[in-house]
Amino acid sequence: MTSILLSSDDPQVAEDIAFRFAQGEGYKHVGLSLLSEIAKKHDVSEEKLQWALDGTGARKVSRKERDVLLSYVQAATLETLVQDRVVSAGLAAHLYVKNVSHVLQLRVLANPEKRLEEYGEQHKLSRRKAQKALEKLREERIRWSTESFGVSEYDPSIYDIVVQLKQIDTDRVLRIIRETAAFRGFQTMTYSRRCLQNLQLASEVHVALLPSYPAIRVKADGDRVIVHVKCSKRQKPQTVSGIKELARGVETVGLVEVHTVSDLRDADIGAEHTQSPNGE
Amino acid sequence: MTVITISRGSKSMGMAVAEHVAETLGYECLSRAVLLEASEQFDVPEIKLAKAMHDAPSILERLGHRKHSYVAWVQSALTRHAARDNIVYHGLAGHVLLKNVAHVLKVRIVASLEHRVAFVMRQENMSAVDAEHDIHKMDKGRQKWTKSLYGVDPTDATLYDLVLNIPRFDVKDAADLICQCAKLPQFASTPDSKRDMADLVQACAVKAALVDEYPDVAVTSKSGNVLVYCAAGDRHGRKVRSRVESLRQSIEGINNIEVHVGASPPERAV
Amino acid sequence: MVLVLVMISVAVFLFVVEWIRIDVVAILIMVALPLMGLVTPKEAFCGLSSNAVVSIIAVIIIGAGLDKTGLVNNLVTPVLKIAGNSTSRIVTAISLTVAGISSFMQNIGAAALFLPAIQRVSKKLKIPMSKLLMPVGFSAILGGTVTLVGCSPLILLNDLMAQFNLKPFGLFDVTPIGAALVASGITTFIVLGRWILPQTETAEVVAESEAKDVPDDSAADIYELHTPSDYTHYREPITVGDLRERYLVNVVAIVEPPDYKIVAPPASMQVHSGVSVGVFGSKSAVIRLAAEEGLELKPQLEVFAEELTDQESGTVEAVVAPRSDLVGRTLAEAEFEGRYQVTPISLGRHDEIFRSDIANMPLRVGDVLEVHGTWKRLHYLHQGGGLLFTTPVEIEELKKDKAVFAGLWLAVALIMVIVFKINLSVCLMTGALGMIITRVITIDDAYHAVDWRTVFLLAGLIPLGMATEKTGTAAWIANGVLQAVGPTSPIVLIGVIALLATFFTLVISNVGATVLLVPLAINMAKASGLDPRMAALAVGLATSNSFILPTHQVNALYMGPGGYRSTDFMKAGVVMSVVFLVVMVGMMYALYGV
Repeated sequence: MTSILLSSDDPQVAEDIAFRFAQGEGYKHVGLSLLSEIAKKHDVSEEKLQWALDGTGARKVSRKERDVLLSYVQAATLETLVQDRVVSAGLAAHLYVKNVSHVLQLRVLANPEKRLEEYGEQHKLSRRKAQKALEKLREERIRWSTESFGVSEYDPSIYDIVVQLKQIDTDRVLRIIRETAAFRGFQTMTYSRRCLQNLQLASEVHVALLPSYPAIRVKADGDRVIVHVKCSKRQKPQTVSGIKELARGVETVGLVEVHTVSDLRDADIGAEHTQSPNGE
Repeated sequence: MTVITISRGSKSMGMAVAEHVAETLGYECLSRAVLLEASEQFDVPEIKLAKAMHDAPSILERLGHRKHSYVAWVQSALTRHAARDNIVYHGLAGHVLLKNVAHVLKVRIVASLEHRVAFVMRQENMSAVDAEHDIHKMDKGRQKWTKSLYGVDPTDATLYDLVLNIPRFDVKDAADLICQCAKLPQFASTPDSKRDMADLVQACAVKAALVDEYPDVAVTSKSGNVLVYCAAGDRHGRKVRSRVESLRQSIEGINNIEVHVGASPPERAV
Repeated sequence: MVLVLVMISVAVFLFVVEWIRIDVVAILIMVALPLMGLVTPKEAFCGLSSNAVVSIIAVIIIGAGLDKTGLVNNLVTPVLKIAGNSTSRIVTAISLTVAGISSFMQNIGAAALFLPAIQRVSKKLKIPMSKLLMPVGFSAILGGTVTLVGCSPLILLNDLMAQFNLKPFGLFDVTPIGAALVASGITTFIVLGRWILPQTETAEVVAESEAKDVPDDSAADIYELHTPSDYTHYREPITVGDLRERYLVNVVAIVEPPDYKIVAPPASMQVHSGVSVGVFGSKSAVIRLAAEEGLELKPQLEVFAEELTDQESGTVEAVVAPRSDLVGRTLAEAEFEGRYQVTPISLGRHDEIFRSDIANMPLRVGDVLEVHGTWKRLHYLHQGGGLLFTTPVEIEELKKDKAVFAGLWLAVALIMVIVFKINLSVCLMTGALGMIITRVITIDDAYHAVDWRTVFLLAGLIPLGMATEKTGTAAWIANGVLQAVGPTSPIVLIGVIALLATFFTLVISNVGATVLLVPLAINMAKASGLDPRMAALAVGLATSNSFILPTHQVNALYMGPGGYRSTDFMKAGVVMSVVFLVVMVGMMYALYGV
């Protein structure tokens, strides 16, 4: 059964649609409420997780810490997504769930006039200033998504459908989701489920490895895990053994392959890997 | 009674979707017809217009200010067709050429880069690297063209009502989705939206008549009241004024026509 | 000397291109000169305390006082009675009166004062404005040459001559020449007006363009409409602005449900179902609106019978004044409708009338705004809007009881100058002070009336003139010019100086031309044996010879209401300039034996 990932330029819009769809269709709704579990599990503050996911405004966590926090969110979200019939919003899943055919990725753009008015009212800004502030937010989100996941959140080609809430209303959007989810191309296949499971395993290994090895790429295929790591020839033996030890600590990991590279861009970027952000 | 514009990224199979939508709804499918009409009316070879509008945006750059003329003529032809309702237009910048009219459903067809690369590799018998390079080049050219003429980025999703990623949908599914949206009451033409379309047709006609001599004018029309905005400079304004007076007779439905020199045109001006 | 030449070149260039406002250029000079060591700091700012600047401040305050009391307006009726219905007599009478007033007031003040009266005369006697305004405008400029306080260049003259230790001119020393100039100017229009004025062509063009705008040949009027009970059903809300945009019909009154009447509603106000709407527009446009929108056109005013009668509200024409805050701004930027709660109907510029989207047109000096509103609101607009009303507002707040004091203090100032031969600036400031003390004008109104642009222009350019003389630059240029001209008689030299002054006053301001040319002319005179006072006088008079281009404030003000084009000024201006030069040089020859 299809899982649905929702995103929006106005987080409240995505949340609202996700909630209504989940209620109406009997889907499991996974949203920001997941952060409290993640915070408990990894002993981090929920507030920091929210900052890491927001990416706008003044930088409140360092980039390294942000990557670690996002990896926690990623792993937890993928763990729920493998269950099917899940609708998720607010956890940036649209940026790291790639090439899984039974996952419908939908972006909803808020009514620009309405958003401008509401934003101006909320923050007591004139129309011009509100426009500038929203433009700035947009740029920050693009920067954040590109730094953290290598894609711009505002690129329409990363979604299956983008809908603007100008003349198409929310009810219509719900109907679009419902009808699209019924399309054959969005039904769960063995292969697509496997792709999702691979992503989930890769993310768990990534969580285990990231604090010690920030410059890595992890790919999974069944119980086989392939790790590309940037390190020098001198450090290779320790690095390889260290990674293998940590990776095997993750449940269901069988074989661990470690490839050392001088530049991570040389690594093969497959669909089922989890990557650390750019800059390596 | 809707007008559907389907804008497509390069090599994204949008034409098939457009034709399917037109067939399903019984609408007229336009692309070439608009060019033909523009070429006949303004005495420009169709091949030149086609190349300029669709295949080689770089040619427009070399034409200098004439690119504004070509675009204005195509826009005038397109709006005249669009005023009849029930059309599917697939071509560049339909979402910009038919702006500010409520009963226009603006759709963009996109495809992931991987899919487009695979498509080009098959079609052109190219390597992946070459195919990707070609696609990037074409995308950049299209973006540059749209931005230079209209100041908008065609990849900006906020310009559209709906963006669909092919081949996540097959042609039939994508067309069905579009047809359903087209049938929404919000996209049905109303007397008000028809009036807006008529205003746009008139403004485009005036602009097309002036653009060759005065490429920088902007035109609005509201119920037969036409405003021509031109840059500051009294002498320039007088020339535009005398040219504009002659349009009262040649363009139907003009109640009043004024030339405003040095005033900023509104966003809806063509 | 090189530095001074550079400064002069920069100043002239900036005056011509107008990238920076001319008073800012003057302040720039005031600061640059001492920094370059060309004058001392004291000399750099001596302009601010110069007799010229004090005199001009006092003249402006006195003029404002006369305006406030309506003393000048009271002259209009008797003058027009004497003139009768003949166009040439009316032109002569008004021109003479304006010239007389302009000899004691700023030219622009006198010109602005008479604009409403001229408009009334034009309408009443059906004489095209184009036949009246240019002669009157030119007379206002010529009137500035009648006394030494009539225009800024003459006010400056004595101060500029002081550094050469030349005997100053008296208040009325220039009067014979000035009077001759005024007489010749008026005569030129009487005799040659048929050929040099735009004639009834302008009237025809206006009538024709208005006929195009009003195909049924119906003048704009007030109508009342009623919206049906289902007007707002199944449609987007229609606003007042929408109706204006679509039909060029202005909603001047509307009922906001259930029964609240609003006059001059804002453009964003929605038109509801089942309400009455008062509109101003041509009959054909109103009929089209009613037909297309499905409104009922009532045969006469009912709901707004009281609010829209002539007693309560009306339409006025107002001209954008030279110092108005509206210049360069749009009505939307100035929040005109909201601030004054009036409805702008149309904007007239040159010979065009604009009705669409006038709120977003940047305004220029001389633009004619047609505005509708209650008289109370129009009066408020008159007071603070920076507009010169060419139609009288029904409620006028003039301090008529203070007219005696205004006249008295003007007389006191003149007597002090003529009889007691007290310094001009002291006499004029005494008159101004007297007006303030006797509450003809409040001190705040006096400050507001002063044109600080002119003050700083004068104050800033005086040190440049000093530097030109101190460094020998003036002498050097003078020698150069004399060599170019060659040996010549004094009267021819006067003519050359006058021509130079005429040229420079057209491209830079008259004050700028005076400051630069007086030292030059005096040096030329000294080198060639001509009386230097005469050379200075030639400059002071000839810088008023500004008729060819509408650069003079008076011409700019009259351009809009008169429907003139630049070519109209060129045609009449060339003739007038030639007459001016001939008469001026001739009178100087006759009176002073130059």
